Amino acid sequence: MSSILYSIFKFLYSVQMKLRTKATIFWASFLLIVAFVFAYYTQYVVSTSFRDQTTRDMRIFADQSEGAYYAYIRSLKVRVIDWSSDPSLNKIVKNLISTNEGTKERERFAEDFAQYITEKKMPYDETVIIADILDRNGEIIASTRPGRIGTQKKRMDDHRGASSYSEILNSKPSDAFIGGIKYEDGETNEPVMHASALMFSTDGGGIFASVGAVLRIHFANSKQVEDLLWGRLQVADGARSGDAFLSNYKTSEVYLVNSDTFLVTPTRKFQDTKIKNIIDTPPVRACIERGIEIVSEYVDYNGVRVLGVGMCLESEGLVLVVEIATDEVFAPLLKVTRSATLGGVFLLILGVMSIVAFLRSPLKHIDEIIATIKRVIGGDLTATVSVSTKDEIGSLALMLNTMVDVVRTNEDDMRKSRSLIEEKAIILEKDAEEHRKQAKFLDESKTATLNLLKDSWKSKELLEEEGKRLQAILASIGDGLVLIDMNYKLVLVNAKALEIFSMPITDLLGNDLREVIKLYKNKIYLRNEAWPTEEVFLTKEIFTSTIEDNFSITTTARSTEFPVSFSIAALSGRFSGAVIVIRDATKDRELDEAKSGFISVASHQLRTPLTSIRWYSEMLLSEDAGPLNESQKDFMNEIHGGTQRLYQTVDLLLGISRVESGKLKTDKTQIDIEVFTADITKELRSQFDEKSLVLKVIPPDVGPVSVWLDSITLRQVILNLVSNAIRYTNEKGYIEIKWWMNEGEKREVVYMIHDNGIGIPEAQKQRIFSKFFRAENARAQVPDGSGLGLALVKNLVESWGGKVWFESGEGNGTSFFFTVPLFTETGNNETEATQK
Amino acid sequence: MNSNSKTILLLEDDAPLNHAIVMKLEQKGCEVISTTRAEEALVILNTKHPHIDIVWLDLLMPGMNGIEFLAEVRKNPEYKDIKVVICSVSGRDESREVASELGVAGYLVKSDYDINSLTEKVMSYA
Repeated sequence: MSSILYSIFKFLYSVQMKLRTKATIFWASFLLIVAFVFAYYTQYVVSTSFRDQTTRDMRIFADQSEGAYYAYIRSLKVRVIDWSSDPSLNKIVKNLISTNEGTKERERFAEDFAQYITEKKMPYDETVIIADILDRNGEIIASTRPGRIGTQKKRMDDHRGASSYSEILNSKPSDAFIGGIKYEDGETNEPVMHASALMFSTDGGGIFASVGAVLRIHFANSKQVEDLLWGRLQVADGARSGDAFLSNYKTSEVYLVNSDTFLVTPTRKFQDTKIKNIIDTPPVRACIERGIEIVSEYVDYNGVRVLGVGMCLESEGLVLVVEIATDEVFAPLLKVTRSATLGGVFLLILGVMSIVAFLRSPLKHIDEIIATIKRVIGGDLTATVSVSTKDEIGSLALMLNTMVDVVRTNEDDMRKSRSLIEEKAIILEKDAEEHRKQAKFLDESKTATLNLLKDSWKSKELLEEEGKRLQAILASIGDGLVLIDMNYKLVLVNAKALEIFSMPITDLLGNDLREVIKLYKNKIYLRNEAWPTEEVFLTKEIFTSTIEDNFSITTTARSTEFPVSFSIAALSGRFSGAVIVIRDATKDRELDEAKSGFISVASHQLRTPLTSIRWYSEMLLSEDAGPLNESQKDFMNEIHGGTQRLYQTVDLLLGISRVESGKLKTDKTQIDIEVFTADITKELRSQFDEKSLVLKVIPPDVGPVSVWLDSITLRQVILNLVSNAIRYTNEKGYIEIKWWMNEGEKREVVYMIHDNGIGIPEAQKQRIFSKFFRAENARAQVPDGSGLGLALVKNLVESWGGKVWFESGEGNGTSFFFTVPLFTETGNNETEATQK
Repeated sequence: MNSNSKTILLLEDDAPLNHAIVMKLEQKGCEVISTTRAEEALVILNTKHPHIDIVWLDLLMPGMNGIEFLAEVRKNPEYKDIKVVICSVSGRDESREVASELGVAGYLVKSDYDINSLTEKVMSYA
């Protein structure tokens, strides 16, 4: 129990809940446990006591019943002896015996006997049902039931109290023997008790003589015995009176069971003893089998749980049983338990209520103390607790109030001290003012100096930070990056650059870049003055090289020349020098060479056989191989013309693929557009004349315009556009060539070729620059075009960063425009850059 | 050999073209030494260079190519008077720049001319 309480206590200690709840739970648990233990104890003690009490009562009762029974037996013996010594009866029996068996006389005497008993004796005792006379051999020689005459006594030991029939025959006068209670099948259904006595005659002088026969009386007296047991029948003076005990218990029973375990007296349940009821309960078995008397609880013949006592009437071969249903025995106990439980619950509620009531005030006080402490923590030093109970809580409240008082007093003192200090400070401040004024000059100069220092520190910090950030950026760049000063001293080299140079950083930093790296252009070694860096230092303009510029380097660690591309940007300001971003172009170069190789081989392999055909057809036409007839000449002309067209197609195709693959080799020169245009138109003069076309070239008013372009490229563009104009304009048509400066966002020259030819159908305008595409009307006009001219024009114009477009309506002529971004005096970076 | 007659060393690897050029040049009164291989041309040059006025040089050839041949020629000061005219099949050879740096009398594109004009043009460099 204590361990349970301890566990509850431990649980309550650890769990987070109000003290009131904890106390209630603990107190309730305690009361519950006490109540439980008390109830259990009470139940045990009271039930034992009840049982003992009842058992004692039952034993007493059983003893009384046993006594009564024996008294009754004695009364029966008296009756038998009385009968056996009846002179009239003796006379009849004497006569009976003295006559021979089977004679008429004997029959008459037997009848006399029956008549005498029936008329003179039986009316006075209803319980006697049969009376017999047995001779020395135990044979019935007379009976109230004549049918019994001649039958032998079946069992000689049937007479309890007599060890044998001969014992009866040899008994003294006034002896009687009572047998047990039996069921005698054939005679009666009821249990029957036998009483036997030797017949004696008296001679009047007090001398008894045996007649030589035994009188046996059968009693069907179970009802009487029942009454006797229950105390309803008083057999003798001083016998027990009343049935107080049994009437107290409604379930009480008292009955007899014979040695055959048959119930032989009526019970509350079985009033009819004619039905043989077997009673096989523990007290009965204990008596019959072991000859002991027990008290026990068991289920009786009736199926009811009872508390029973068995008394052994050994000489009678009977067991006297007294029983009471346990329910009734312990009924008062149930009542006690019920009221105890009710009382317990009431006590529990009362206990819990009392503890709650008891804790109410202290808890309230504790709450108040907590609230006050909270206020004090919050800075309210005027907070006090008004608890004044004469216990620990009261003391706690008092101490808290005292503590707050002390703190408040200290605070006040501090405040006073502070104001004193402040006053003094004001005085001091005034004094200090003077000193300050004097020191001001000094301070100002000091501040200025400090500021300077601070600035430099700040800059240093910022620089360090910047430096770190820069380091991170540099490390992550995929290209090599090198920083040099104006003397080419290496200041910074990133990881990628180290990889390209295949050198450790220690061999680079602080050294002259030109001593570590040798630079070549077109495989020719560049002297120090020829480094593009020099130009960058001068102009401050960014220099960018590509793979086409054919720069290569060797380093002290990589002696084999390898191609590079790089850009150089000048740094000015605090640090003067240059940033060089460099890339190992070995891979680019290989790819580049592969492309160039393909195009030049394709170009050569296609053109060579075409040249062959062309030349031989020319030679045939020139009749170098002898004269040709007219149709042979015509045929040769066709071959020659076809070859020419194929040649042009191949040229266009290769031109397009060159531009597309970026392999367009250009050689820029300054071109005066007017002169350039005149050259082309002159070349095409014959074609203009052939169709009687009017050509008008209109230069701009501003004067000559020059562009910085590759002449072959520009020629191909203009030639293609003008040739188209000629081709798709009908005879006597009009062609106009015009160019002008466009001063928009981007300075550029716009070049226009206009004709009043067949125009471009609306539906086909979108595809006009596609390879091998030819507008329907164009195909009708000139069947053998390649459809590649405009595609090449577009590629070429875009290769230099220009745009090309047209305005046209079917039948209304066409205007083609293209632009050339303008160059500067010093060279055309813009155009140059875009053309590569 | 009349004053008009020129001696031309023709280096053209394509046999039909080589043949056509020889025919046309000879028709025009030139003396032509022709070969299809640059290595052989160098041998010829070695022995006959004093007589040779012009070298007609194709660029793309198997074995030693036109540029390599030109570089070899330019290495030898004895050949400094010999004019080299490149007749390429294309006007856009990557080597055009290199060729002009090494020094050539002319750079002609075969397709720009018919055979007659081309031979005359080459002859005009003499």
